[in-house]
Amino acid sequence: MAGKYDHYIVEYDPEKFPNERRPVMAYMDDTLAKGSHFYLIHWVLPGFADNLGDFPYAGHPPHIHKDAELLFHIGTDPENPMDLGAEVIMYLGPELEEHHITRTCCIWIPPNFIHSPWKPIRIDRPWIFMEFNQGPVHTEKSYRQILPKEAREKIDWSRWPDDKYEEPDC
Amino acid sequence: MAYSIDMKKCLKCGLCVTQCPEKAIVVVDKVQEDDGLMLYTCKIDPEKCTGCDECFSFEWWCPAKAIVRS
Repeated sequence: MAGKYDHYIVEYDPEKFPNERRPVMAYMDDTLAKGSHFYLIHWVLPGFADNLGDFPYAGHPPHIHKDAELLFHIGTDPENPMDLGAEVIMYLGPELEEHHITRTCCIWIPPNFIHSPWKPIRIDRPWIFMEFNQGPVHTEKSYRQILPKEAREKIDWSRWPDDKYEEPDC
Repeated sequence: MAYSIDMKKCLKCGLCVTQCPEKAIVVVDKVQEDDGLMLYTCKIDPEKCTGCDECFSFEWWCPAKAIVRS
């Protein structure tokens, strides 16, 4: 029997996102539920990063968002939940400070803070990645100019378009 | 207070031009890189700047922290 609150229960519809390569579990933003922030939750399975390239600074290229973002890396071993079961390279700041994430954690990304490349370099078992953005929809602006020339030339930039940023008036 | 852009830190992204509430930051030159990236050389117009301090006081208002206050 249909209930009057059925529309509050939202199941991810992969048909709406035909280019998604990840097994996305949940997606929500202001266009799906007025007033919601942007959320994206997906599994990270062995082989996830195979198409991100194998060179220094491969992975989701450096970028910013208009709103703060929380990046949850959640391990799935019931015997040791704080072990991520994987190793993720994450670069932070315009200096590309290198971090290796191997524990369950949340990374706080302030608005306009340059972060990434982000790339899993070892995945022992599936784990869960949750991207919580404190704005209504996804926004993104790339900063390819901070990458070494060799990395910049190897990245397919058509995969990483800017989203909802305007070019300055000249 | 006077504000300027440290060109040694500036990434020439042009974000400051679109963010300044007083439209006091302007593009003085732009160059397109081989891979299509547009780089903007910008400056703060002291005639338009009201000293609101937004560009300096918000920690990552400039993603390169290139805004200088003197």
